[in-house]
Amino acid sequence: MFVIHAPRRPVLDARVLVFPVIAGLALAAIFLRLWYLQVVKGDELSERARFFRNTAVSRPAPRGIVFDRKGRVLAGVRSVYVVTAIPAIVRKNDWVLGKIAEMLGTDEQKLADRVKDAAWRPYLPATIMVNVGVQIASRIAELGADLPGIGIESQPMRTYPDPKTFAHVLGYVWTPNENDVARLADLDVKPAAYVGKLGIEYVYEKDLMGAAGQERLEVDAKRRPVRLVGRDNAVPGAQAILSIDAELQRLAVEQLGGRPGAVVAIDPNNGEVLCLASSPTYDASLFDGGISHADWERLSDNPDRPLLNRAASASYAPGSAFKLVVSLAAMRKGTFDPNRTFYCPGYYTVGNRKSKCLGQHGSISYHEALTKSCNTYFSDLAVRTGADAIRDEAIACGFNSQTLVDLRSESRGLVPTEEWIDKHRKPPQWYAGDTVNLGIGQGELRATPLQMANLVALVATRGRQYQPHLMHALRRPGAPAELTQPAMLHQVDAPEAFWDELTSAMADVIDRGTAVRAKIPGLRWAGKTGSAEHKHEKKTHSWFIGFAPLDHPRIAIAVLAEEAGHGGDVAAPVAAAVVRHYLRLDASTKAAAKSAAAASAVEASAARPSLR
Amino acid sequence: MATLRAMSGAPRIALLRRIDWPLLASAGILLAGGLLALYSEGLGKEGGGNFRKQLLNMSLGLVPFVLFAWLDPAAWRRRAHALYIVNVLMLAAVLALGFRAGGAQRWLSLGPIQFQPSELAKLFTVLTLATFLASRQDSIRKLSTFGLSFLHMLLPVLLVFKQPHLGASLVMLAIWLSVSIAGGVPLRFVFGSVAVAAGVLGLAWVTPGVLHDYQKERVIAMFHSDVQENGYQALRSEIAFGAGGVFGEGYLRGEQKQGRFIPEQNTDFIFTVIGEEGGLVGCVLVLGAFAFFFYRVWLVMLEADDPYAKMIAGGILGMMLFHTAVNLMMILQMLPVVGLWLPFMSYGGTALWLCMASVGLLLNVRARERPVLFG
Repeated sequence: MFVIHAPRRPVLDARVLVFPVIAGLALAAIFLRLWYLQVVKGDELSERARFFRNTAVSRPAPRGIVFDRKGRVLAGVRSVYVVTAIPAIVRKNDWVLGKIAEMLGTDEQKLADRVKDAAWRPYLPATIMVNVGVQIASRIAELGADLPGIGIESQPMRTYPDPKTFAHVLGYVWTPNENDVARLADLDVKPAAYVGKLGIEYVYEKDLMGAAGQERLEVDAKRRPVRLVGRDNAVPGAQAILSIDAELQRLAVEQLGGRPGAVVAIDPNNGEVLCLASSPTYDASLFDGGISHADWERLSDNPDRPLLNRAASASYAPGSAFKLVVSLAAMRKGTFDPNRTFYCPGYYTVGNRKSKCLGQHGSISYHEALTKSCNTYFSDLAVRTGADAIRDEAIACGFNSQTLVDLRSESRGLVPTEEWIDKHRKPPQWYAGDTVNLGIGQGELRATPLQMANLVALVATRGRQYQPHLMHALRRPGAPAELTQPAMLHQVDAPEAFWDELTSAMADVIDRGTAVRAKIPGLRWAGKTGSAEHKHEKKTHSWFIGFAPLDHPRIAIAVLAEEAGHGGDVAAPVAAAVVRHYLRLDASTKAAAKSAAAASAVEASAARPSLR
Repeated sequence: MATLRAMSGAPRIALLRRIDWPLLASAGILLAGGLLALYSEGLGKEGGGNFRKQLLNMSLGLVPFVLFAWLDPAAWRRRAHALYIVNVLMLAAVLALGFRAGGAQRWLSLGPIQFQPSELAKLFTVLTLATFLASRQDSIRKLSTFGLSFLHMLLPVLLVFKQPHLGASLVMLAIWLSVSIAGGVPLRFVFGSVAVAAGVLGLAWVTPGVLHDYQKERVIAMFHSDVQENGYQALRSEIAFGAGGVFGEGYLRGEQKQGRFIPEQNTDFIFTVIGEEGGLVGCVLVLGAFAFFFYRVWLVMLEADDPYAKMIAGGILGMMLFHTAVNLMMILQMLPVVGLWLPFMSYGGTALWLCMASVGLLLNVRARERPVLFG
């Protein structure tokens, strides 16, 4: 059976051609539009597509752990709970925030503001509260679906195992302000949620902060996450190994016993700071999770000023401890003569004034003058050496400028130079009495305990002064530790005889001089006291600086106790305790070392670095 | 008419042999393409999106397909009055009893089946209008006939417009013009009425209360691509096409699609899946399939001797062409979003049944129009 088309010729008139013409025009227009979108604008639109499709969630990096020189953890990392909210869901259930605020004991408006800030990513959880207690966190987690949009996550947070002892060394972390943002922008980094505000945390912010991780998410039209595209894990901050000896620091704070003062100990051979204690101290952990207004007022209004780092950020008249500088200046000037004696009637006459000495020393040599801290002798030596030489020597030894130790807000101290006099005295006049004052470390002269420790370190090494520093080594993830190289700041060339004279006199200060209370059985060491007047009605600032052992010194120390009286009475015993402990001469050392080893084994992670 | 009567008694096997296979094949290709796109669109969605439902719709669509392919079109002609009344009653019922979805009242429930009478109205008006004009072939060139045909359309168009469904009422007007052209109405009447309609629309735009605000907003949004929901939807579909580029992102790999960036992507915006995953190449293939389908429908119209058959083919051609062109142009931001589906491809039961019924009817008409010389 065949089916055949009729041999017809349908008329192709305008009427039947209307349809193909319209269809052809429409399809051609559609094709041109497709060509335009997919070929001409294809790349541009693909780019926009990518933008619409992706977003990233930052995962905070744990800050680098800070260890002491023996691997004990000074600043660690712990997980804290944070409460998160998904803005889109919370908005639909506006009662939720009220309930959460009640559970957290906070202001609902504060939480609502956080949610509002995060509204540009309505389907991603945003942190609305950090550092929530474990009980509240678990209650929130249990309620689960009853609190729509609310979640609990954990986040690494700085923790200080001994927040009081090391507060002035480590500083603390808190939310960045404009200055922090600007400073870090200069370092080419963006601040994390918390930045170091003081101390090591501040100075090494860039090293300690690590790099935040990122979860790259593909989102849909409503910016709901659809799938995880990629993840850059957070890189923890570099581990910092400080030269601080935690045991020594603890002992120093203990020895100061809460009275305003400071202890700075330095390894004179390389400038490593072994101990940098300031008293009274504060609890750095008050800052984590947000210091309360009341706590802040208590700290900032406290008359003892616990926030002040007395070891480096405060300066005091050095008193007789400054006689070391006078000696160095005299040596350089050629006025140093150990055989020369001077008669001390109990005072030194300058012009028509009498400057009192501590005693009537009679005819006294350099050695005895230093041992007994005779002001008359040193007034004469100062006058003979000249104010200029003393000032120059002081500046060369690091006074009148920051030591540039790795801490923030270091004080420069003060040497009353001619420029300073011109600027600050009316009339700008230098009197003979000022030279006498300079000779005994009084007048406008000011020094920080750190500067004083650095001065005595110079004497200990017989003329070599190193840059004091707290950072022993930085260990970045996946890289060998970067050791801080000792840098010599200043070298004094002096004959051995001078050093012998100076150090033997300093040894006698302890043996039979002003600092007999610093005696350590079985150890010969050197020191110098200072009792600096600062207000007539107040007691003197009590200073002691020294180094030990006398031969091959391993520790240089400066102790200051504010308004505590004579240096030999208060500062010297503190220094002795610290030195004795450091040189393992105290009975308790062995036991302490044992317990410290046990404690550090617990504290430190498996990757615990060890100094030596 | 003589041919039809002769054919009505022909053995069934003969009818089967006279099936316009290329027409059926092009429709089948478009249906398959639509299913592929729907499958891709539903990937990752709960229950695979609407793919399975569309398969079910397609199976159910075999009923109207066979019905319209089997029954002699003359039967519809004989019952044209009843058809017209049923049509108007259903449209009125939508307004009275129908339920709303998406801001418009377009749906009726018949037991478990929900359908949009406005879709059926399209095919019904093709049939009733073809009947109307076929019986007035002697006065077809008179303006009065054209005017009467307008009145014939007016009631259903108004009922649809009232739902409100601007798109469907425009489709019905397109059907009216197409059937008129196929039926022999002078072209100057047809194009004259288009000009008048344009003027009326312009007036409606400036007269408050005639067009809904959302309808106006869609028009405005077309010219400001970054504003509002509709502008957003249009921008996203633009991005999907751009991301597809020349060769597309590959089947099932569309990222815009996965992101659910395009609202209603499985219904009116199904072509964006092809645009993103198939690129320009895929789009041109689909456009080619449509072009071939239109060509075959046009042949049905061209080769029909009987004015009634000619008008049925012309009406369906106009309806399909209008739907396709307006849908693609609105997706491509060349026209405002008026909510017209893409024939054979968009998800939706009633629309699919309408398309399948139309193809059945076309095959029927085509088969009956072919003279058999040897049997």
